[in-house]
Amino acid sequence: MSDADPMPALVEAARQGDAGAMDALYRRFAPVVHGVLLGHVQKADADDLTQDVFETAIQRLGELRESAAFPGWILSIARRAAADARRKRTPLTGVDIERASSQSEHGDRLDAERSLAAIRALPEAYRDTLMLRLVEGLSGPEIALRTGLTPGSVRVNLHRGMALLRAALAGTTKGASVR
Amino acid sequence: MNGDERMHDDGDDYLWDHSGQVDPQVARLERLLGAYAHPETPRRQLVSSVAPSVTALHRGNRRHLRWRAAFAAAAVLMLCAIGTRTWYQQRLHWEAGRPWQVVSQQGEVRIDGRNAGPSATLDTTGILETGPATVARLRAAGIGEIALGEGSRLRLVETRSGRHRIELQQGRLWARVWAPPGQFGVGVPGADVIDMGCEFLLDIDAHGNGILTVRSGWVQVDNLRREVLVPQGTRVRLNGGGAAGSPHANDASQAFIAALEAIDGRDGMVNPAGAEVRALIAASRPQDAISLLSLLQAYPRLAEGPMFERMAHLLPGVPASRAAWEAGRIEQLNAWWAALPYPRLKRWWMQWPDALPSRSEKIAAWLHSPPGG
Repeated sequence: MSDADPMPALVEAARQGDAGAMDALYRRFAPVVHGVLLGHVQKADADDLTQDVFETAIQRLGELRESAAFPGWILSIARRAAADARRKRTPLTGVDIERASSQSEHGDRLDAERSLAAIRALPEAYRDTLMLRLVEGLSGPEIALRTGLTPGSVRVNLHRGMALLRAALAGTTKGASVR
Repeated sequence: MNGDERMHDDGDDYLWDHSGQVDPQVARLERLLGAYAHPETPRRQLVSSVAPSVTALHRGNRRHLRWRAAFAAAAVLMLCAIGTRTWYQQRLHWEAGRPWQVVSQQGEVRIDGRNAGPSATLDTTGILETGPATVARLRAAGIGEIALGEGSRLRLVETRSGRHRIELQQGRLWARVWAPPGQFGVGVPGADVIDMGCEFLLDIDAHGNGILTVRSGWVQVDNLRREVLVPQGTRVRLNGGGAAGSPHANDASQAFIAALEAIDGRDGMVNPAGAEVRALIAASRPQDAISLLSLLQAYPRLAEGPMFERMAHLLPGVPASRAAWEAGRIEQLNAWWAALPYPRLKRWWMQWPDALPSRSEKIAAWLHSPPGG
């Protein structure tokens, strides 16, 4: 199995124990899972939890009835993992990774942390979509494909989320409903 | 999407799919936050014990796998236990009077005066004899094996489940038995040699004089005048016309053996503080404790001399006093027996290697070695 194969075919092959299909699914969905997790935990913890989420997903793949439902299914696992991690008082790694990131300039690093904090403060739909777009570098169509959302919903969430983020970063806040 | 959002659509093209005019703030956020993206590390491999297989994936989670593994392990253990019990019962079962099989022979082997063929058997009416430079090997019912060296004469006296007796009228016999104590025994002129779960070498002349060497486990020698327990790594002299001697370590000094035989030769009727006892004590080492203990058990009067203190010194971990000896000799003897560094008699099954077949060349070498060597 290769990365070019359709997602349902990859899921079916992984269900049959194909390690190559499992790897392909991981490469395709790890950024999405990571982006969702990053909305709740620090980067190092998100890195670790991404692996945990895939381990859980692969072990429970037999429980997934529809292969096409894989994107929403694995994101639900990721959200549960994030909620579990958030209930813990201290970061899983015990290290404030954001402060130890590779940002070279002090000002940029502060801006990055401030931006991340602002995104994390957004409602879930905007938070996840913006994380995938601005952090993981996915385009709108890619986000739609890998989350199971419609392109229209993703576009609206991006638009509204970005508006809220601009306002938050500018020190002003606008209310908005989540679609 | 409302009208205001539609007005932003053109400006949001870059946010949507990187097309159109670059939005400077979006581009700056991309640059700042890109360092937090997924590191593109390879997928962590599952450990093999829980790696998903076709069946495992469809059967559920890791807990089910653990239960299945536990049940499988329990089933395997149960099968092993049943198999071991069946094998053990079959090993001990022997139809009464069923002949013993001669499994190999080198040289001249005769049964009832006739040359034994390649598939010869020995029953309770026959006598097996070996000529010069001969080795004959027989299966001892189902519980072990025996081999005879040159110039031997053997009779199968009795064989049935739980009791197998042979008579070695003369010659050299090697035996290796793995069965509960007492099931296998060898009669020699003037004594019975009873297996207690062991391997031994018996060298005897037509008058019952000879040496028993024990290689593993324990052997008991009984001639109605004395019972002697002989543990592995020791040997004992057999006297057709008198009591068996006391066992001594294979590497005991000649001075020690001479003093021991002098005491045994007079049935212990020596001065407890006399020359023989002093010579024995002078030559004794910790590994000679079995000899002193056997003497004290057979001839308690010897405890009146320095042999008692020497025995206590050789086994310092056992509390010993003359007062305790006089109050309860048996308890003191038992405590010393328990402290000897030999396998426990009740744990005969621990000598399980004796259940394995031996190599023919080893047996032949033992049978051809000098008597007592």
